[in-house]
Amino acid sequence: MSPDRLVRTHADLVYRVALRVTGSPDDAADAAQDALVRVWKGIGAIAPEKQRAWAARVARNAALDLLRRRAVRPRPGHADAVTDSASRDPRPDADAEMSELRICLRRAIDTLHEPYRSILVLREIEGLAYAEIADALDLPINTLKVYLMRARRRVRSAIALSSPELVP
Amino acid sequence: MTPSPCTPREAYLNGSLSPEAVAAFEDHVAACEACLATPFSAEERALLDDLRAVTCPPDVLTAALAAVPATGQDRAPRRHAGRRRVRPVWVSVAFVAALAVLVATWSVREDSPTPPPLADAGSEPGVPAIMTPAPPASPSPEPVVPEAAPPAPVQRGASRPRTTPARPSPTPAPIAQVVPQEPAPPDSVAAARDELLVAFAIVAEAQDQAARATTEALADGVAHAADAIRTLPPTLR
Repeated sequence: MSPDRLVRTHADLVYRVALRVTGSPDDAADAAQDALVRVWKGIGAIAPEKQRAWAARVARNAALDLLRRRAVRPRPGHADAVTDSASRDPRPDADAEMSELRICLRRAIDTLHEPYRSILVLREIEGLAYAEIADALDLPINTLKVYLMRARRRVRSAIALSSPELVP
Repeated sequence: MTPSPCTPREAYLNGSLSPEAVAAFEDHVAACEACLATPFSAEERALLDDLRAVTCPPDVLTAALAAVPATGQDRAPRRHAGRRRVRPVWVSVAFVAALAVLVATWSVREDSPTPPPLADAGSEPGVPAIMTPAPPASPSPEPVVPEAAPPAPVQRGASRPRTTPARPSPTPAPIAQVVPQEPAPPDSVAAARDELLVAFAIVAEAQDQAARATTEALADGVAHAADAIRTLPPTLR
């Protein structure tokens, strides 16, 4: 597969990871563009079964680099605007409770620190395997599993704090 | 009956465990697939899936792909390959030219300046050997005059810079009178360096011109080939 096609294949993943790490659509666009160029250059040397995790790693690193350059921290919930507009909600007539839960969930994810946020995004949103995430983040797999549980616990706690009635 | 290590999972997720129990559960969870199962409800799971519906804006993808040719690797392999074919030749030319200039500069300097040997067998002590072919005007320690010795050998005495002081000579007066007439050593070195820099500049310019000519020739060749293909009958294309 040509680099162009591989970049197109992983572009959405790259952008989503960049969006979740930066918390800003504008920063995510900048980071994703940088990451996609890096992906285009290097993906030919990556084994096909590792390309998705590698693209996620490149996206995360590009996003973190951008945040470091600008010396800013992602603003919790700032990515809501783009996700609300860019995502094509399959249920536009979702009820108010679901909308509230959606906002709580996104804000809870955005309040996580690294690497918890990336781990949660790559596992719960992108569906990567534990080994892929461990490879992407350079973490031992057992450490990754513990971090994932901590990330889940913090999201649940954040939801419980903001909307306790939504936590089962 | 001891409780299962999976039992405190909900308490862990709700943050109601003690720090010791949290540590114990985290030791357990790495090896327990059941505890690693997602804790999110169906509604939360659906919302997480919604987040996966976010797509990369087309302008970001377009901009990234547009930026690739300028910095990429495999969109310009022919240009790199062409340069690899040309570059060694011109590097060699530049090296040979620089070497020739260096040798020429060195030989010019060899004709005139040579450090005086500190001692030479068969000659008088303290008298430079280079001066021995010249018949002395007289056995007396008269000052050496230009007419008595060829000018070139005389100039060798001091044209190259030396850091070693001359050996004390029992007859220092004749040489001492000739040395001040020589050019200053640093000037000659600087002049040679300048000549070398000029030569490098000329070679670099020639290299650029040749590279441009090669590129144009390749482009012309491709154009001619394309024209030739167009002139072929359609069955042979």
